[in-house]
Amino acid sequence: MSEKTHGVKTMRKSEKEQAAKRINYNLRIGAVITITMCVFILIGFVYTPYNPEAMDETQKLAGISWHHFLGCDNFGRDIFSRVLKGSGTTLLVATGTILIGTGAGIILGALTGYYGGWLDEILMRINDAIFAFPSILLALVFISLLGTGTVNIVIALGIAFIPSFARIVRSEFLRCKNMDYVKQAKLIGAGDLRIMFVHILPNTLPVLLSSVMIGFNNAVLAEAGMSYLGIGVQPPFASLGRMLSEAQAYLFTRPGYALSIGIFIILLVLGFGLLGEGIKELK
Amino acid sequence: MGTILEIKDLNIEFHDHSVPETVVFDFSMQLQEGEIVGIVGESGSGKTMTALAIAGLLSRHDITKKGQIIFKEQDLLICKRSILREFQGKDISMIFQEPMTSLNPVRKIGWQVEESLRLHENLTKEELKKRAIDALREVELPEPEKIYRQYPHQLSGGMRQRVMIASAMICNPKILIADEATTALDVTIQAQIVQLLKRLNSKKNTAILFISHDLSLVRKLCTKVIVMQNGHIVERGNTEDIYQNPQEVYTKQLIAAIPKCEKNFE
Repeated sequence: MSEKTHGVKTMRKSEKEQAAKRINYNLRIGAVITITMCVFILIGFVYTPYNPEAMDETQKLAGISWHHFLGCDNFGRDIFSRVLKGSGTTLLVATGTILIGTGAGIILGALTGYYGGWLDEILMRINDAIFAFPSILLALVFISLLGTGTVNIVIALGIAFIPSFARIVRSEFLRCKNMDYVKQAKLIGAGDLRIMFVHILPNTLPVLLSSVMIGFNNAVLAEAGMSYLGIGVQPPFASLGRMLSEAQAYLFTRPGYALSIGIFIILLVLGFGLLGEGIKELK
Repeated sequence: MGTILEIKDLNIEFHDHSVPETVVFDFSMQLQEGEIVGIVGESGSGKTMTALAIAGLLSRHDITKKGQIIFKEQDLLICKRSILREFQGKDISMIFQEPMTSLNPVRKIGWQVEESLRLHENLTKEELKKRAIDALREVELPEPEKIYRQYPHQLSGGMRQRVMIASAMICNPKILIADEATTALDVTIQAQIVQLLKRLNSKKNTAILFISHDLSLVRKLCTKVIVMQNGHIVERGNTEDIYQNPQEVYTKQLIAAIPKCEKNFE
C-alpha cells in the first residue's frame, strides 16, 4: 500500500516537473519584447536624440549613420527620434482606446449577462449592429462626426472596440451567474451590483486579460491604419501610422525608412500578442 | 420555545412551459426555535424548491408562489426586497449541496466567510478577521489562521463544507437551511458534519431545516420529519414515531430502502 501511494506520488511529482519544464515561451518572449518596447517608449517621452519635429535641410533622406541610427526622412528629421516619440503616441492612443473599450464593455457585458431578459435583447442587438461594421470603418464614421485629432481618435476607436469586449464579458457573466457561489452571495443578501462587480468580475479576469492584450494589438494597428489614412494623428506630430504613410513615397529610394517603422509596429504588436497568448496559457 | 417560521399553504408553480406546472402543493409547517426538522423525499419531490422559497431565492418571473411564509411578522413572499435582504444571511442562511462550487474560486476563504458580516454589520477590518477566524474555529477546522488566507482549491470537500457552515453561521442566524448539505461528501465526513450541525444547534439555538434523501442521517439529527412526494406532504411527525411506525405506503417504502449494512457511527 505504501509502495503504491509512493508510486502515485512520484508520478505526480514527475508530472509537475514536466509541467514546469514546459516553459511558457509565449509569456517570456512576449514579456521581453514588451518590456524592451516600453523602455524605449518611456525614454522617448523624456529624451530623444534629436527634436523629432526639427527639420535639417542638409540631412534630407540621409542613410543610416552614427549620427542618425535609422537615417533621416524627407524633411531631414531624425527617424529614430520620431519613432520613439511616435510609438509613444501610438501606445497612448491604444491604451486610451482599450480603457474606453473595456470600461464600457465590462459595464454593458455585466448588465446584459447578469440580468438577461429584454435589456439583454435590446443592448445586444445594438451591439450586433455595431459589430457588423468593421471597426476601422466605424471609427471613420465617428471621426467624420467628431473631427480629426488625437483625443477624437481615442474616443472613436474606443467606441468601435466596445462591442467585442461587451460580448466577451457577457459570455463570462452568463457562465458565472448560475454558479453556486453567486447563489450563495444572493443568499446572504448581497445586492446585484455587489454580486456583479465584487463576486463575478474577478472570475472573468483570465479571459478578459488575454482579450485585452489582443484588443491592444488591434488598437495599435487601428491607430496606425487611421493615421496612415491621414485622419488620425495630425502632422507634424509623429505616430507610427502617420510615418508609415509618409514613408511609402520613398519605398524604393529609401526602403529602410518604411522598413524601420514597420519593424517597430510589428515588435509592438508581437510583444503584446505573445503576452496575451502567454497569459491564456497560465490559466 | 416559540414559533419562528410559519409556512402556510405554500404552492410553487412554474410557468416556463405552455402548461403551468406545480411543483409544491399546499406545503405547511411550523419551525420552533432551536428545533431540527428534516424534510425527506426522493429527487423531484419539491424539497429544494421549498427551501429556496424560504431563503428568498425564487424571485424569478416564471415562478408563481402562493401562500405565506411568515418570519418575524413579515411574509417573505410579498415583503419588499430590501427587507428580505436584511433577513438573508443574518437571520436565515442556507448551505448547499456542492461545497466544490459554492465557494468563489478567486476569493480567499477569509474574505468569503466575512462577506455576510460585511453586508449586515458595521465592523472594522480587525473585528471582521477576528469573527471570521472564530467562526472557522467553531466549525472545528484545524489552523483557522492558515485557512483564512487560503483559496478554496486548497481545501478538501469536507473542509469546504465546514467553511460554508462557518460563513452561514457567522451572523448567528435563527434558521439554517441545509439543502442536501452532506450528499456530496463521503460517509465519515457526513457523520462529522451532522454532529457539527447538532453541536451548533445546541450551542447557538439555531433552528435547522435539514433537507436530505438520506433517511439514516435524518434519523440521527432531526426531532421531526416531513416526508414529501411529488410536491405533497405525505406524512409528518416525530422522527422516532415515523421510523418505528410509518403510516403511509410511501414512507414505508422509503424506510425499507435504507441500506441494511448501516452501522452506528456515534
